Amino acid sequence: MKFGLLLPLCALLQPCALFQRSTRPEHAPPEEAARVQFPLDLPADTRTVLPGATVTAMQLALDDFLPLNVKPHKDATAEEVCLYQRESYDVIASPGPESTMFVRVTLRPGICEKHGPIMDMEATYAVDVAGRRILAVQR
Amino acid sequence: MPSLAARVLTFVSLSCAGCASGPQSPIENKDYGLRDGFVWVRGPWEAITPSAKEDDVIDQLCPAVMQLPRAQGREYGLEYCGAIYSLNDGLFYASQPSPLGPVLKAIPEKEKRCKPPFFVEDPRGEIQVRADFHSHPWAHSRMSAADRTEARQRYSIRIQFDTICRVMKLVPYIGEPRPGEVYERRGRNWALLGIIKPEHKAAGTITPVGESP
Repeated sequence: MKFGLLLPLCALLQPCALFQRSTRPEHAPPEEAARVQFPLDLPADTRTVLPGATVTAMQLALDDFLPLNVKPHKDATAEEVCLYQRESYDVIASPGPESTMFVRVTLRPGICEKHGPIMDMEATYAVDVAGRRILAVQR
Repeated sequence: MPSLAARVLTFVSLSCAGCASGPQSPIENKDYGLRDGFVWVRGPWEAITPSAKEDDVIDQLCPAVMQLPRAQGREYGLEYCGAIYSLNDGLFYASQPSPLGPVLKAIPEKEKRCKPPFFVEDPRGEIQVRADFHSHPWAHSRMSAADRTEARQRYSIRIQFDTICRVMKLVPYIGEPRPGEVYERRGRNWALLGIIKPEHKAAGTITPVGESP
């Protein structure tokens, strides 16, 4: 390919690379970060330890169930806005065969349901942890 | 024939409209609605013959509900929720089923969740609700763990069925020290699948029968 053709092609491709979605979360500006005080160590009585495989499976399931970039739809009710929040759910994991992990994302009772219970606010996944993919969703 | 530019413009417009619009909510009507956010339903449902035996009413529910719009719609389906009640005349009745419930655009199986009725409207007498029922728009789909949790029980019995009319029954025994019971309808009998131990009622976890009590 002639150099003269390569240059415009590179110019076209560069912006595409810039617009790629980052998988890393947003970081606070330095002045806000400077105000954070880390403890000497994570307190033994309040810490939670989760195996990496479990967290990976949970993250894959959550990313499918409720992607972080999803915002409530227009005219969503207060109940629906609550249902869009990941904090409204519990995540339960149980190991399956080989590198499979079963993960259930389930609505915490009493958090969003101010006008009676809602049926079936959960999903149970079989996650292929090593393959980083959802194997199946239980209906 | 429209020009290429016109066709492209139409496609882009339709695409943008699709992105901007939210999910479609079921709409209230004369048979069901919302009162202060709670679902009410009208009864009786004419599709269901009243009976002195509640099982006779339960057995009629699934075939009737599956005739309703999108009841078998899978990803694009609707759940329907209703109630079984009595009027102190010795008969059990079924209410109209309602698809009312929250609608979310991202969570899998969107637009399928319903809310059990909080009120049943039947002007003929004093209503005692015995059970709630709801459908799943899938085949081979059992009652979810979330629906077995203690906090989500309001009535003595919960009935759930799927598109192949596999019917499940939960008897939660809320507030009682005895375990809850989970059954599946097989022919004219209820087969006990498992129990929910008192310490598991909060999460609705089933212990299959045959395992250590």
